[in-house]
Amino acid sequence: MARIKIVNPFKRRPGRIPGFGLTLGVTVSYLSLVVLIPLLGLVIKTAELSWGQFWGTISNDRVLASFGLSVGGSLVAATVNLVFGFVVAWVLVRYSFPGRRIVDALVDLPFAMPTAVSGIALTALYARTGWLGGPLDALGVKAAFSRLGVVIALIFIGLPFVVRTLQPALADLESEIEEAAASLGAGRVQTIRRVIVPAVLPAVLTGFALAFARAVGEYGSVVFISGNMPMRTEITPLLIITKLEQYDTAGATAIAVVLLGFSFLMLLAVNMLQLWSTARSR
Amino acid sequence: MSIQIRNVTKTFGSFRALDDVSADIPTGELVALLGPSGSGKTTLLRLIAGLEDLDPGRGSIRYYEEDITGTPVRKRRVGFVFQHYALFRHMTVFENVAFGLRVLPRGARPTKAAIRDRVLELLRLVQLDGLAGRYPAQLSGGQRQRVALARALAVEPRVLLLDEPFGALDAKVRTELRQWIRKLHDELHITSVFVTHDQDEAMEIADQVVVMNGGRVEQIGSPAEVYHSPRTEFVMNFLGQVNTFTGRAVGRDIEFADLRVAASDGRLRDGEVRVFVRPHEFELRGRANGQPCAAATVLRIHAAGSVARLDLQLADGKLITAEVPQDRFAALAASTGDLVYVAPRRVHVF
Amino acid sequence: MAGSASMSVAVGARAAPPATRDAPAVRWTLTAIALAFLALFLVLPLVVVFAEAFREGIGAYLASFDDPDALAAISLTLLTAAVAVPLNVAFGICAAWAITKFKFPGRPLLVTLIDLPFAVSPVVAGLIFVLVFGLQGWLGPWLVARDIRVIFAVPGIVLATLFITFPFVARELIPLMEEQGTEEEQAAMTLGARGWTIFRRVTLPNIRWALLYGVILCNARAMGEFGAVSVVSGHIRGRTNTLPLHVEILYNEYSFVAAFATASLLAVLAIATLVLKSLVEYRIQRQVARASAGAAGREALP
Repeated sequence: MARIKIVNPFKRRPGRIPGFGLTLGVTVSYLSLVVLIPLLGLVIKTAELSWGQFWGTISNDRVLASFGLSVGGSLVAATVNLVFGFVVAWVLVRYSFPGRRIVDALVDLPFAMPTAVSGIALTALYARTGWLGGPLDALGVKAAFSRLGVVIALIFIGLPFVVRTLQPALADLESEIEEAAASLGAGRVQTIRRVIVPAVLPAVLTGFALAFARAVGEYGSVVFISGNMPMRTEITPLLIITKLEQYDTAGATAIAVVLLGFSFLMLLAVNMLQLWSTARSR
Repeated sequence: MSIQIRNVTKTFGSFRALDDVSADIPTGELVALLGPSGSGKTTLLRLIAGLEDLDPGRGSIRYYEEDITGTPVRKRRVGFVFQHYALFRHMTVFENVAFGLRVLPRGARPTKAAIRDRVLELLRLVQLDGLAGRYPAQLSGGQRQRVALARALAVEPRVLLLDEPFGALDAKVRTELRQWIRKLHDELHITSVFVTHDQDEAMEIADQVVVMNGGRVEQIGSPAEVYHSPRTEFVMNFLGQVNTFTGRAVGRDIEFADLRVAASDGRLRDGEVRVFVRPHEFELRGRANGQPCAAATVLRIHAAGSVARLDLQLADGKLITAEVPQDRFAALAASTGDLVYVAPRRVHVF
Repeated sequence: MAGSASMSVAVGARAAPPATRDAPAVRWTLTAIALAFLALFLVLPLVVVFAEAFREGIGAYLASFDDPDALAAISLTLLTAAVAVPLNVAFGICAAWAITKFKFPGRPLLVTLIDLPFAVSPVVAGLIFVLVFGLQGWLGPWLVARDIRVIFAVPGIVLATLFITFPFVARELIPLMEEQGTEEEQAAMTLGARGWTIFRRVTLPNIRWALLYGVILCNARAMGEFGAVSVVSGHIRGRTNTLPLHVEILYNEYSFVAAFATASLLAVLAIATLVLKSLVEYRIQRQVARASAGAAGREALP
């Protein structure tokens, strides 16, 4: 790699805080070593694929089915989280009840719990022999080893994103705008629908996008409960691993690039939402 | 009377924000609630609006003889202008002003065209025509304030309530806007109450001033009344500068600082009293002329301004401030170190 | 994204004003819905881990750990965290220092790049290391020639963990140090302090809670990462299995009690993480409150 010359605009100027060269140097080197160069490996590997090879891999029925499940299931899960995450955030910000701090801390459980543990726990819970799987089975609903199971795991993993994005937005809402709406004759429902929801909309959408993005790439909490039947309950990240285990590096790379491209789109969307939100709240 | 407040008490936890407050707001007048921070003025305004509940069973509030003590704010038809405007940031100026009309029940809601006409008319009234499509973030402080006002007026409120309406603005805009509000009030004649901690603001534009302190009403009256005939020590101190003395009351007279003068209220008293004289209520002379007066040394002269202000020291060492018109000051021809004679024209004792 | 300190708004003695208050029926209904949802999706999975682990009694539970492979998995997990956490702490401090104390072209890009690993699926994160260090990878032939194993070996596991946990410390420090500005460091400089002293005596005390917060999150993820590690590990028992991978193997062998017993260790780690995190969050909130009070004080000066 060509050496990048970093121009230090503050060099040797007295009265400046020291350490610019050192810290930026360490940051850029480490970032390159751990993140950028390995990612570059993926790009180079992709460049080695011919267009036909690439297209052939990702237009395969099994791959398309996995995209459908990963994206579709993630959309459903993120939507469920949008609704219930809003309620949870609202209750945690607005109401006080005994144990509120504990409940608040618990929301981060999906972040803190290793995904493999969440995966087997959810499976044990929703399998036909499980506490919830049994009653559901009696109702004729097969939860574990079905698409529903995939969605359940993705709800679990996405919930904190929605709640944690919404909480500060709801807390920052000045009570005056609700009072203003009430003084202008709006009822509680009108106030929530016309004033509160639009005011926190950027946060709502950001939380949704984050939960959605995380769910599409999620692996550990899903593989146990999904049953991994090709064409039916096989998620995209699992398919990458399967290809890799079959020494089909090219196939794994092609699918990974699609997933990565999707992640970048979501990252872009989240950044745009953030810009929108700051522009509005100036 | 458009608003009658009777024996209202409000506590927050263990803090008593309002203590047995009664006041009448006359129809069509512009009334100021004036007091230092923590005096309860904002709480009283919010109670009038229905933004706070008063302590159960402790007082009542009536609008035009109708008891609205338990009525929620959205049914009171008040226009409330918040200190920081509380504009809806995600709505344009037009949508902000239209909000109150759009949330009316279907039967009472004007047509789209009628809402549009009304909003544009209000924006003309507050001199914001042409800015209907802007968002609040794109407006200056004074413009936001006027949007908030137009929004409050859109619902044709029975009373208009303003919380520190000029508090968040810089000095120049503040003076302009308060004269403009007074003019607007003279056009609309809508019963209005505003909260302020700035006595100049209250004196300049209000028809009536309610002076508050420590959760109680100290005095209600016209600006001239509360300034010239303060009923309590607090009002005396809060509205303008004042010299304070310790003196003795003897019958209708007051003795202090080598002086014996009649109290301005002419009441009989006895014993030690606190005596108040405003700086402009001192008469200054170059020499004693037989009338009661006290000798004082000139310590410092501030001659710049519409009146001349003099820092004086009495024979007993007490420091006082006196103000005299510039022509009187010229006739006096005093300079630092000179001896002058002071005589109070008015003496306030409570 | 795991980190953004939650804003808990304590409802004080003062009740909310009537216009912002929900009717009691609404309040109870929403609280019930929220708590039921959380119980269903968060509490039950946590409880089931311990229920399954102790299904056959405490003896069977303890017996699960009497297995050299389990002990090897524990030590590999500890080793991985012991490498990844200090490295990411050092990086996080450097990155936050460079980004918040100086202005330079490309600064926003750098901030975005630091967040990148959060956006990448763990499986893809593992894959990129296979593509670089694997047999068919970029450096594969070179490594084979020198008999260095990265993939299906400990170095690969550490690398994948580094990638996954890369942003945790930096993203906690950057917003805080941004808020704190550079005034205190500049004051220290005028008093004659030099670089390292400024950092140790002035900056570090100001950021220690946020740093600890980042460390807690980084550690939890380093010990718990599954997807990325799974791709590069090769699942060699006793050699390249971390605790989460060991859980998977046991589970797939239908050794449920052992699987859940091992999982219970990780669940305890998760609970400890949550408790520590809440405690530290509380400290940070106080610090932020103090900092903004200080900022308000500065503004009040003429």
